[in-house]
Amino acid sequence: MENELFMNAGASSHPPVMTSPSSSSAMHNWVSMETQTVDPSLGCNLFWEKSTEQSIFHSALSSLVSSPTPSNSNFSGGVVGGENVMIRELIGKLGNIGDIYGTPASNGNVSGSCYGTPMSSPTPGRMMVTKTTTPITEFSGDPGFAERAARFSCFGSRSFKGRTNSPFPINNEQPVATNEKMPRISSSPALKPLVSHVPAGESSGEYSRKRKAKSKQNSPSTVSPSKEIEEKEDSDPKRCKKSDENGDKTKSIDPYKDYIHVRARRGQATDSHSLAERVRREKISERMKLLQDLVPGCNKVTGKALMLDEIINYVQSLQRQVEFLSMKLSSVNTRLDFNMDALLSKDIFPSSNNLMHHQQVLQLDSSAETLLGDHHNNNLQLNPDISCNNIINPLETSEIRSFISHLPTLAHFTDPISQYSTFSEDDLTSIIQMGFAQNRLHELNHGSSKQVPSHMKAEL
Amino acid sequence: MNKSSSKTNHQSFEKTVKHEVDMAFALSAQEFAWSRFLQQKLLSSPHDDLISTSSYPSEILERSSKKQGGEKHQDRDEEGGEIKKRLKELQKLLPGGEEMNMEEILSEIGSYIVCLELQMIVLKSIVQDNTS
Repeated sequence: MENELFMNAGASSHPPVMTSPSSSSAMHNWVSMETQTVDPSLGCNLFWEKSTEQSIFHSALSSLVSSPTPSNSNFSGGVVGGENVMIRELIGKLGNIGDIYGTPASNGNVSGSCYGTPMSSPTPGRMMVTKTTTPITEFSGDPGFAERAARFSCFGSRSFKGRTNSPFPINNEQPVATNEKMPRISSSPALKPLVSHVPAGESSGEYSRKRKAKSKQNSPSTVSPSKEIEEKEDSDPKRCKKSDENGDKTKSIDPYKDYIHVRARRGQATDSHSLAERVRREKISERMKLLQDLVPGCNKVTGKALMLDEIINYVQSLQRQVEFLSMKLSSVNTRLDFNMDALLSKDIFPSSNNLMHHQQVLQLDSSAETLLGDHHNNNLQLNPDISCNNIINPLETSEIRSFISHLPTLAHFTDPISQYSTFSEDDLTSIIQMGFAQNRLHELNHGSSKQVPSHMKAEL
Repeated sequence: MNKSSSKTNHQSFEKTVKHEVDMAFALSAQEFAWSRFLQQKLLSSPHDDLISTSSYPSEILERSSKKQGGEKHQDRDEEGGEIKKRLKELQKLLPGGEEMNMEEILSEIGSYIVCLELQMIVLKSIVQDNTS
């Protein structure tokens, strides 16, 4: 089970099939794949684009997951269950990957400060990643990797810190959390969902909380691993509140832990307001960093305002390009001739229910070929019926086929097709009405209406 | 007479195509607030212009030049103000951005950018297929 947990936890490197097993169609997979690509691209653009790194990660994960359960003797103290061991081992191995393992106090270290002593013992088997070190060092320096490592470390530290928790609630929560993780991930930067999920079941001690009375924590062992690993280069053991982000998404379950604990930095105001401000600012800067990776040319720009400028310009240019392309698409399509039968199948949409729409739209491209191929002759008959209209001119069926197969292809990427179907109803009828004589259509409707729906149904 | 009617037809056709493209775009990424917002908007008003293409760039350029010529003191306040202006711009760009606060905008804009890029790739390939 731990293996599965890990597969889900390491999710972004694995296909979403696991997280959406019951999904009925490839569409959902595509969607989650898309979201999956969104998330890594937000956090780990560089990481995903470098195939060597990816393969490293893949090999690391696979080796980790497939490795036999380590003996507990390697870990001292606090081992609650096999899951903890597994997780700790994974994290240790990740630390090995980053080649930063030996310094628990170092920053940006996966197996570092969050684990303190137990991890100082050498993990079983120095890393089995056989890649050269140069990509590994790149790997470790990647902010995306840091985030990913943080994610793992969060899972691990949770179990490690589970002195107040039995591991079972964690076990129970993790599958749920990770199953929901995919959609959650996509809606926020890489770090956010893990944070929002991990503390969802969080009880005590892991994430620093903010109490109005005091701003400093005494116990050095309570660590917020993710943020610390990721950002804190300063020597102060600042525990940042990840739970602030939690506040956005999932309010802490336990009212006792409703506060957000932040340790004040040295020489800075310990006022609750300023702390909140600071956390907020850090969050924002974190997001800006992610955006910097996304938007080309943002690396040279410093300062929030200029970067925001760049982002705005980029989004605008993207939007303009999309609009231009859609205009171009419409101009291209005006030259296409609608095959009569394709029209028929579309025209039938209004008469059927939403489900049929859905299936018809989906099946359109697969059936388009057969329909178009069989009834090519009808094109010639139809042409005289086309009212003098500059919009639609006769062309080869190959173009039509590709056009038709492309339009619904966009719809393939969607889940709630019913909305699209009601939407397509108006559009397609308007298209149809634009260029073709109604009478002819009605004739044809009556003629083959029986056949085509059944044809459609057969393919369902 | 014919030409004008065909022109309006063409325009409505263009709108239709644009609408469809936008819809596909919104449907292509369901998990984001902006996509949900866009979807709702598209469904409720089928033929409006949703992706605004009004000339924001000129405003942006104005503002950046202003910033460079701006005063040095009270940098933070100024910067905060500048940032806020830009955030407002972003709000306008992002569908559904009006109701979001800064953090949400920043997190949503990343996914929006990526999906826009993806959509561009798709559209380019479609257009290429149909023109070549």
